[in-house]
Amino acid sequence: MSVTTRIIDVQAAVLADNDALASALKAELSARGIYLINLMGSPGAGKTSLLAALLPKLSPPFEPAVIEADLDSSVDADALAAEGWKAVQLRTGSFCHLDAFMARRGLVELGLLSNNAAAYDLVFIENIGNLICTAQVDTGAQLNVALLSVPEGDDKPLKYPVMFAMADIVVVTKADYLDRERFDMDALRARLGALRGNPRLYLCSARSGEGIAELAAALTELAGQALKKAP
Amino acid sequence: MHELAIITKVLEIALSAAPESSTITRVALRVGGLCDAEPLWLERYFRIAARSTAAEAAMLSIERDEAMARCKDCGATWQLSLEDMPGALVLPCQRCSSDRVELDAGLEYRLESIEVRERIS
Repeated sequence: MSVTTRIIDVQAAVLADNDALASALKAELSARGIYLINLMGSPGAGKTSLLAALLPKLSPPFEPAVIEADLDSSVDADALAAEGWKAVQLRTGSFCHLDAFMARRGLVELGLLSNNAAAYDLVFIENIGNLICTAQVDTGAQLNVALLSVPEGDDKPLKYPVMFAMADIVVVTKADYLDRERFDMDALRARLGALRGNPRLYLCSARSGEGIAELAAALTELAGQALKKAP
Repeated sequence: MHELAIITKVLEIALSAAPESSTITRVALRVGGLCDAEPLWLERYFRIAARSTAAEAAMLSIERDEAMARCKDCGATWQLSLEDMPGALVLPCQRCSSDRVELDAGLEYRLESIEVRERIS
């Protein structure tokens, strides 16, 4: 009896199963006529408030629903449900981001992905408040949106470049704070431009309603194109 | 924090690649140049996750891969790094100035190989 040591070549992409599931989920959502938007931003960037302001502008033409993800509690889902929107809450425990497995679970909880006709065609994931981990994992969403609130500062893209380079759309929230903060939209646009060519940038305030209609129109157009549905 | 999710997956793949009744002595992981993964935390989580498994005594080796950008128009590729940030992730193409530039590599985690010790009778 002897002891030998050898090296086994594995060459496995560690996130391959998530990436494969995310691709499959994208295809399945398209086939079922569902558009999934992944909303990301810091804790307190105003993700839930933006949704509460945005959803009435999207319905009609869409039937929206929301998948809330937080480490714990259901306050976000409860807040949206109180306004009459369909929302399910995923508790992620110690997980700092949502992956395609969890996104799929949320869609199943919404009653989508079953044999019945889809009751909702525009689904938002409100991802966990985090600008690092959420940017690195594909949820299967067709559109990635990053929120940046005015009080956070126009220099956030310098500190979290991966997030702001990955985002298809950047929404500056809490525009009603612009007169109280030194926040330079032109500087932000230049910083985003350096990360990914021409950024799609929107300025909104859930409180005053500023810019909400424009953002809703942009999302309606994108979702409409993807689902081949006239707005 | 996402290091724990990564390491759980790494360990799962490593253990399933190891022959029965062998022990794993080394796990070689390659990390993309734009991954925000702290080697220190990857190692700490590995130590905890590997307890009471065949990889309990394994060394985790971590090598960083280069992050690359690729021009969708002319196909040029060039190297990126987190240190070059900001502005380095997607710049106009250095060859043809197109801004249709995409990330080609840099966000992957790859379990390259494992080293195992076996008793041969």
